[in-house]
Amino acid sequence: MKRNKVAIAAAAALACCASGLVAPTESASASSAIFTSIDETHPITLGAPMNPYNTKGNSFDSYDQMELGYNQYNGAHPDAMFPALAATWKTVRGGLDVYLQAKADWSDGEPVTSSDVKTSVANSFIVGTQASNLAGVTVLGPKEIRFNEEPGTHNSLFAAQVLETIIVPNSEYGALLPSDIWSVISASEGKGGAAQKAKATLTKLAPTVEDYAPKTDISAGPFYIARLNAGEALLVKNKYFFDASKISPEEVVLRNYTGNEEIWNYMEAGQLDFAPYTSMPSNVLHDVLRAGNKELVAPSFVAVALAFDEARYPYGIAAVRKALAYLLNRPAITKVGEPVSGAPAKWQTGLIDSVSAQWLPSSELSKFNRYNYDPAKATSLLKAVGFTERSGQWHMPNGKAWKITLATPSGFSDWDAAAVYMSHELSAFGIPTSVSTAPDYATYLTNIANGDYATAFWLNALGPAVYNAYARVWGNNVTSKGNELTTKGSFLHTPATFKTDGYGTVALNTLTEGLEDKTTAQARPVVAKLAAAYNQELPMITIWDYVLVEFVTDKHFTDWPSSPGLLNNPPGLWMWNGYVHAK
Amino acid sequence: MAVTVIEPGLGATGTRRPRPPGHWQAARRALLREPRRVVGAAIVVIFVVLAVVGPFLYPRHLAANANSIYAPPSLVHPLGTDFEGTDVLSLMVTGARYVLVSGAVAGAIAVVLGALVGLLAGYLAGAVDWSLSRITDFALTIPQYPLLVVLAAVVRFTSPVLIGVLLGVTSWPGLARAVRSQAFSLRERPYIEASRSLGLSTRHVIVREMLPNIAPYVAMNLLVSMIGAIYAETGLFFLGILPTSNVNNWGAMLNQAVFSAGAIGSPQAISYLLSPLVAILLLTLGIVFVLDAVDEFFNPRLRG
Amino acid sequence: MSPDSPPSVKVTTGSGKARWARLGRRLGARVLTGVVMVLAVATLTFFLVHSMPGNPIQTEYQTLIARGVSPSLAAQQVAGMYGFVSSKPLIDQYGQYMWHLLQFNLGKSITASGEPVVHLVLSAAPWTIIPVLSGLIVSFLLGVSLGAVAAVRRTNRLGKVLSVSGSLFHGVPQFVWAVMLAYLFTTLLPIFPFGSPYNILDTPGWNGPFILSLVYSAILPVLAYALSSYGGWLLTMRSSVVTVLGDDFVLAAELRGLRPLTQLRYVARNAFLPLFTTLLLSVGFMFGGSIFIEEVFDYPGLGYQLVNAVNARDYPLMSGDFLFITVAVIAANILADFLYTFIDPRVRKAA
Repeated sequence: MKRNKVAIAAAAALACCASGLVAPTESASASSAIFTSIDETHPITLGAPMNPYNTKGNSFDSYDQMELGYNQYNGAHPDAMFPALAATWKTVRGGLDVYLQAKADWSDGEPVTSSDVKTSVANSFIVGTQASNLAGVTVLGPKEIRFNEEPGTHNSLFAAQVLETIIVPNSEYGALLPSDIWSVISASEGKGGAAQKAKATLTKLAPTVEDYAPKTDISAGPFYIARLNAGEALLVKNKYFFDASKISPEEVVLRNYTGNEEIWNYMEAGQLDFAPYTSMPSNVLHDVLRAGNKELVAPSFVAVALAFDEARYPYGIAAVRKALAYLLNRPAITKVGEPVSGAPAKWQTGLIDSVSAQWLPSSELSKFNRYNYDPAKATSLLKAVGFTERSGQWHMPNGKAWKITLATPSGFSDWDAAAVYMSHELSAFGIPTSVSTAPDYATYLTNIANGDYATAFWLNALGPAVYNAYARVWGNNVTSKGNELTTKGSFLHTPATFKTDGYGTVALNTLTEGLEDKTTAQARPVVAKLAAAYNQELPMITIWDYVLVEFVTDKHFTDWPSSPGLLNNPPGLWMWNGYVHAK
Repeated sequence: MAVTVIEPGLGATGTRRPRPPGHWQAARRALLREPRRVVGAAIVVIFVVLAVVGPFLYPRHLAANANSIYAPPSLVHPLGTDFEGTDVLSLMVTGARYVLVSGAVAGAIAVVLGALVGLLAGYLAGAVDWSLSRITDFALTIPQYPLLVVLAAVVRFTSPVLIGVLLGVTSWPGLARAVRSQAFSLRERPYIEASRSLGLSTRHVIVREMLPNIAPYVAMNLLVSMIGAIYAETGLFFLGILPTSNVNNWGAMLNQAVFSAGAIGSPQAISYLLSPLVAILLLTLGIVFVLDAVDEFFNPRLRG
Repeated sequence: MSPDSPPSVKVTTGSGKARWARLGRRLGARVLTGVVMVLAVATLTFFLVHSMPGNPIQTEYQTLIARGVSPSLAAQQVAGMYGFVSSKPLIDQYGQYMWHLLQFNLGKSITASGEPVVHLVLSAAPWTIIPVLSGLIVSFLLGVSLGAVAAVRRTNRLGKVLSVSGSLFHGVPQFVWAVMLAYLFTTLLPIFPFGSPYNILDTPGWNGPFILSLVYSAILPVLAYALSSYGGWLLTMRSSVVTVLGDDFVLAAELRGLRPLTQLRYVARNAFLPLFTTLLLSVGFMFGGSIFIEEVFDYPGLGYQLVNAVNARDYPLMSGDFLFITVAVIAANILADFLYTFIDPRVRKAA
């Protein structure tokens, strides 16, 4: 009867485990010097390397991953940056001179030097993330390095893009690079066969860099990774960090997540000192606030719009798009879809409202059509272009019954709720509307690229640079086919030029593409034209602007920042800028 | 599959004659012997009635109201409201059809395929049996839920019937195996051997002689397959593997309650979470009680 | 497990050596069938997975945009995926996939920038295997013992209550168990953690707090597995015991005046046999259920990984997870078949 003994032993083991559980250990979370949070751009992937070049790599921005500088998310000055590993910088003829923090050291005690930066820039060429127009670097001293801009080019965001370079230690990554790497890089910048060959060589090197798995985490940030499991990462303070005295938490615990509801649950249990932005319904907000969390609010540089494929009948008719804008009750839709972190879009300019206010004078803005909810106006617009209503059903000028299908991807609960609500409103008006949900975001994007949708939800008004916002409407990377992100062609099928009241004919695509190289002052008149064209042509109806709503608890830490620039960046940055102190 | 295949009564099948008289009376007696079985049958009947008439009780487009989102239960909304202020009770009632239709389609397909494959394999034996059994083995090896997850991303499942077909074609092998072993034992019975030696066609023997013998067993498994399919379907909607928007299904409601309303942690939306959960549990309860009667009918020793 | 295997176990004669040889041949044949099945499943998944619409790089990029990441940062993040999306013709990819498979190489993950899939799958596997097996053992022991009681006491109240509980537990789907447990024990009575396989603050190793936190974090998933399969064991054991109770040898034992406990042992041993194979066969069902249970508790095992891989269109990872789960099922089948020959008394008597 051996079997029975095994069974009894197993039962006994289970019983003793169970009895040990009666008193759960609370002591672990008692220490107040532990900062618990979630990195929303980087959930934890067990088995992935601690490598920032790996898409799922366990490397957490502003904690153990550092850049030379961080974007200030200033709508009026898109090139304003926070210093990080770069203490200062200066635009010089032919490039940018960067001076590293004198006291910047790696967590193994070695100094952060120009050779680390050089290796990091080489890596960025290999994985294809180098700043546009960057030609190479020249080491000027142990803590001083020049980023060379390609002769004869000008990129208004050159400094910003250069400073966003992630810096990794030469001691780990230097050995991965072949000795002739810089000659390959400069060869790749030319034209012709040699350049193609050099590019191929770089591409071949990419997996080596992306897959590299350092044994320990060597960080130039305020923390380094001590250990990871599939659900959490433990980071401890890097005593060699250049501003270590300002870093209050001794340890940081970052949690994994896959869905918003996980973050809500953690917040409702009062387990997060800082929670990143998540979309949430108002009942959850209520519970989250009751659990002792408080909101930090800043603008978020993204909005959602209902976009049209103008090649599809009847959406090429401007009056139809405008009529729909009058039919969509944006405040009510926002209440259903994004009650907490959404603000109904006020001006249809292709920019989020706060950026519109920065770029366009109020005298100008007051002239813009707001398309506030007005079914009567919609009726007259539709009738004027030949639509008719018979027994509660609208018919198109070609005589067919008008039906709308709103496309959304599954898993975007806010869009989904909004689309369902919109479908009910439009159906009630006499346009039978249904929602078509792609099984997931991947399929949705493929369908968009294939031109399967006449009306689809689309993120727009990206920022802070206005170029990003208009590129989403008239740029050449609105959608893509294949594996690359930058293929030309847009599912919107917008016209290349548009006759705009007050500005004459506006070359939409050309002006948009030109924005990238313009300074703020140069861009201002262009933005005025594009905004007016957007408002009149109405290629998409902006429904709501996202609002960055983050949550913090005062349980263990106090002194939270309030400036939009800091709030749009991760909390590690807040710490060395003098915020977040243990109670 | 929480419910796979009910094994035939281990001792009872050996002595049964074809079409014993009073078959249906015995079934009725088994049902009436315990009050809970009657309750179970009543629950199942109520759900079937809901599936048939439910959608006619409400307008085609259920009203939404942005000003009463996740309202608690009240006289106007006995089960509260959902994310856009639609009455949850009306969603429950109109959603029963989707759930039961795909369950019925899946059950029917699984049972027809399973019985056909099982009977052919068991009766014809030899090479046919060998190849059918290998196919069955292969199909049994593939774990159903992971397969469904992958399939649902490949095929666009838009209608309850289509989902039923998907679930049906992935859940027949268990029944095929059980029917096969029954067919094996039936094959040796004198009256089947007699029909065979008389030179009657395979079709005749299978349809006229063997099928009636296993019909009650197959009928019982129809119920089992249906409930299995209902679980799988609501489960896939719950996971969000099948797209949930604009779909009136309890699984989709559960998905929205858990993942969009955060109902697991949010007391305000609790009636939204509990309504589909209770509906699924009630239906389970009903079918389990009915099956209890069916089980006794096939395995009389259980009565004790 | 093919249906005709139990009868063919009648290896009742012959010397020990011959019996081992037979067993060896039998095992060899089973393993060979298993390998063929794995290859067939691999083929099926390969083509299934590659007929999915969607592009992993676009998905990741737009997902980052949707999370509020700036376009330049998002492009920077997804750049790490470029090298890993194959552009070769499908049939070449298939050939390469199968060739690598024979070397236990499942390819490289796309979303994790070329991290070997084997590595990712093996990282996740323990977090499914251990809770699944624990849940299986708990429910088996509980279900089988209570099933025996339910059978012996089937006429009185206890027996009835037990068998009704069995039917009910058996009927409730796994995801419903998971949601109910999550609601009860993480919200209503928040005594169990979720989202992590152990508390990161406890140093991993053979120390009390770590093991405790490991067990503590696994309680809810294990409970969900156990509750969803307990009823099945109870019902099967009950019906098996009832059948055996009517057999002649039980009557004989009764007539010989053996003590009730001895009688129960006789009965239990015989009734237990058919359950044993089902035990291993149900591993497949349990693994499948991990999709739901891990998703609800955010427990990072294979099911969780599979659902995420499907949503991110990480084809190699998806196939890897699916294949691993299938292999586990096939291995359990072979093990069941093999062990059956050991514990079947007809075989034992001969030895």
